[in-house]
Amino acid sequence: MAENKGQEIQKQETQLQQGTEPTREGRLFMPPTDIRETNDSIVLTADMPGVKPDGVDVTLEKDVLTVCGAVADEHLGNHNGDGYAEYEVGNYQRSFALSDEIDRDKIDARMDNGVLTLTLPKTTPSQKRIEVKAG
Amino acid sequence: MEQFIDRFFAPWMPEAAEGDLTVAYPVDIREEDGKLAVDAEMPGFQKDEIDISIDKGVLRISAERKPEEKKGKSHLEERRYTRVERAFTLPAPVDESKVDAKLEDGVLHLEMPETEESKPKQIEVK
Repeated sequence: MAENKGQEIQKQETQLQQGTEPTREGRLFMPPTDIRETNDSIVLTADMPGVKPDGVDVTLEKDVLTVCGAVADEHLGNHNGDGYAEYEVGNYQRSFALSDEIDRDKIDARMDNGVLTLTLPKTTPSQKRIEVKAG
Repeated sequence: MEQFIDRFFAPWMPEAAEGDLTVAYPVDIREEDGKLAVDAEMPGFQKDEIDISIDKGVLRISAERKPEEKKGKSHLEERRYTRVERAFTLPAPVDESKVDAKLEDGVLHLEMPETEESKPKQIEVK
């Protein structure tokens, strides 16, 4: 596509939280992500080419959802920068702050052709009416 | 509106919110052991959505997939195109009948053996 020419083609590296150091070897990339919200759920879709379903690690700690993807060995290949190279292979990592409105027990993760789809169901809002009594 | 988004997904880093990731799918081309190897990241494409052709030393990779159904409201949109077309002049002639292509985990791997005439010829000086 002609309109892409000259655009940045490199993958964007994950910026780690300030003051922290990476605990994995190699470069870490930020997967391009879509987030869509419907009435009953939030769907997060992330491109992580080269990652197999068992290479995906989704953790939820406190309010932070972290998506990690380890690139399978067979895709590490000879990306040594020789020849015509537009990309480097590295693992993926990205974190998102979640609200309490997600039903944490029902998060569903699917990996298909290098695309991770996370479905985060919303909790049914617990409606509490507080009655004001006349003193 | 902003507050509403933040309620669900305040991206961990401020950069993440800006969504400046609109880039084409990257491709690697290498020459190794008498063959050309091409790797192209094509997340989300099925193998029958990808077209590969070699014509007069030009490798063309094109792919098109249906845009995903867009339900609800969008909070972040960074994922790339549903249509890709890239063409490369190959650095050496290849045997077009022996091209091996496979798609795995969203990565397309191509292997093309170089033809005999592309190998360097020894010329004897008399």
